Amino acid sequence: MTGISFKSVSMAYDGVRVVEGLDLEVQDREFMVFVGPSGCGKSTALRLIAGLERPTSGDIHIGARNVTQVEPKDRDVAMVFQSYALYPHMSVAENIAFGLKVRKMPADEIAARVKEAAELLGLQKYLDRTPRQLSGGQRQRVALGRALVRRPSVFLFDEPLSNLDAELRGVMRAEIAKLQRRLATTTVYVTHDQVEAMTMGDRIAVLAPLDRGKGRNLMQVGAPLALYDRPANVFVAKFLGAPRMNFFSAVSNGDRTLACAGLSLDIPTTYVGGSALAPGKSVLVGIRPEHCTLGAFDGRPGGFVVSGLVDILETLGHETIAYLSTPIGPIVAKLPAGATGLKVGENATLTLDDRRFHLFDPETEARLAERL
Amino acid sequence: MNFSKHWPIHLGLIAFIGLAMYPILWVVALAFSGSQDLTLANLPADPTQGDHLAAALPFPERWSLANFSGLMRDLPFLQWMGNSLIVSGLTTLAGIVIACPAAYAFSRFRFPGQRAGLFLFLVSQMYPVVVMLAPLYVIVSEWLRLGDSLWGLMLVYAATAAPFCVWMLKGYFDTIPIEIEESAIMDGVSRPRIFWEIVLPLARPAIAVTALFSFMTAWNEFILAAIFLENQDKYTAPVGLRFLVSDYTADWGYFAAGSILVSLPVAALFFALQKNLV
Repeated sequence: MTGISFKSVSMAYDGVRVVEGLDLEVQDREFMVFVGPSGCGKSTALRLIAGLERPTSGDIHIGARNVTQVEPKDRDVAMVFQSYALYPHMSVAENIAFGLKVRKMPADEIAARVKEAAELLGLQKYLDRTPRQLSGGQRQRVALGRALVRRPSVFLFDEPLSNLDAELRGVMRAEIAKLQRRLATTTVYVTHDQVEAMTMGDRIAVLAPLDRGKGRNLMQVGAPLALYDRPANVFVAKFLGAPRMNFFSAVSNGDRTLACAGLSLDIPTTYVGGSALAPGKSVLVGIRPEHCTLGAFDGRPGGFVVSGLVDILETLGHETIAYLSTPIGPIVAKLPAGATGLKVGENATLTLDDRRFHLFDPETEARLAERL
Repeated sequence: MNFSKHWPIHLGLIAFIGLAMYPILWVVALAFSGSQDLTLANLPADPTQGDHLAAALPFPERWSLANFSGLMRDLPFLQWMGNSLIVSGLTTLAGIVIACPAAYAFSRFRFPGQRAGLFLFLVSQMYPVVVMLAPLYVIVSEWLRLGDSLWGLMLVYAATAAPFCVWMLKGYFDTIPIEIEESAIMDGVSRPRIFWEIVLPLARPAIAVTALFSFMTAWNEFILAAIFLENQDKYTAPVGLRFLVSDYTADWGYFAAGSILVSLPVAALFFALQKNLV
């Protein structure tokens, strides 16, 4: 069992707090993604697992072992860095073998492992080359190979695809995910890219900078779709999804309806009543762009219809993104490619699917209680 | 660039090159002239403008290696060269051996006095060597009893070169991504081994430049050597050369030949290290 536990971990650099009271469990063999904007402490959390940083307070466990004060080399973890961090003066084979040589592994065992990793990653032809003679994708594979041959209990990835172009990033994303499934090794992957987070991880931990997370880093942890469909707070709702979720303010009428800009909308039946939705209570309503459809009420009960001026149209081929100014505020709608009839500068009508509304407390920014 | 169109620029450039090269060519001509005279050609009793012009050309009337052979035969020039080589080589070695770990520590570790130390190193470079002449002489000759010795001179050179070497190398170590070292830490490599097997090979260009600088500084240094060294057998090449031209003697031919020979090791070192020079 090689799960990872953060137990009330805090970390400060020169007195500046970066991680505060982090409690998090990564399960054995799980692919966990730490995602968040710059300064949210995701890389610091990864470095804490690696042992490259020591927490100011709290404990870190790998498996049953408290590794808080254990040296990196004794933690049985391997890390892939954003910049690949290959040794420029060594060949590919030497780069891959270096960690094993340091551990005084027999030469024939080293050769066998290097060969195996090279075959797995398609590096056989490049073993004698130096890193500068390789493309970005090949370098990334060497960095992976260097981690793989160690056969560690935990893999750590620190934004490994950031330096690759979009096409290669897609390929490597799939390769890393496939590799992790095949090796079934506990993996923590740090990224700021929500596509990587949504597509690669078994679970995602969304982290926020302390000032935006109201003094804590961990905003929500769970399966990708669970976070997307039921964000626990405004931060997660805004961070996951592109274009990001639309928000507008409303006031509870007390009869399971909300008033907004002179319009009335129904509260989704999943939301519980009670004090949270007492009359006069302000509510922040969120709706994802893909849950806004073009045109007036289609006859289905519960559609919330708003009209507004089309400011910008982004035609992406497979879909069209429309930016509208409406009485309830700016709304972004993700429409099918053939969304005809829309023109910049003209009015358009959208129907917001009120079954898909997300309700948040404007003060705490937490999701309002639901009946699940 | 079209020559016919830009000939005035080319002509100007050639003139400047000639101006820069003239003293060097004069020294070469003097060295191979075989005489100790500063003039290369004897003017006739009633010289014409052409005679004056011919005399100014850095081209000897006859070519000879006599100055080179005389320098070796009449003076302990080879010993002076050897002394220079010993002092410069050891200074370079000591400078690099001291500066590499010091610069690495300044680059990578945080410790009390780090900023102050670097600042003091910089300050020490602001003063000319002559300012330190008296205390250095007392320390080396009186306290350490290393006056009139190559070891004392080497010690002084290494101590004065070290701050500059540390600054040069620290600047380069700063550019080596820390992730490479962290990657090695994850591989289980110890700090000393990271320094030896990862950092130093990557810093080869900077070490080459620093070594070249140290060597050249020690090789060409005259003032300290002239003060510290009393016995002629201990002279370094610049000191020996200087005494070829004094109030009582003026062996310009030997001086020129010696100057050429003195410049050869530095040129050789430069060519040897040039593939590492950026």
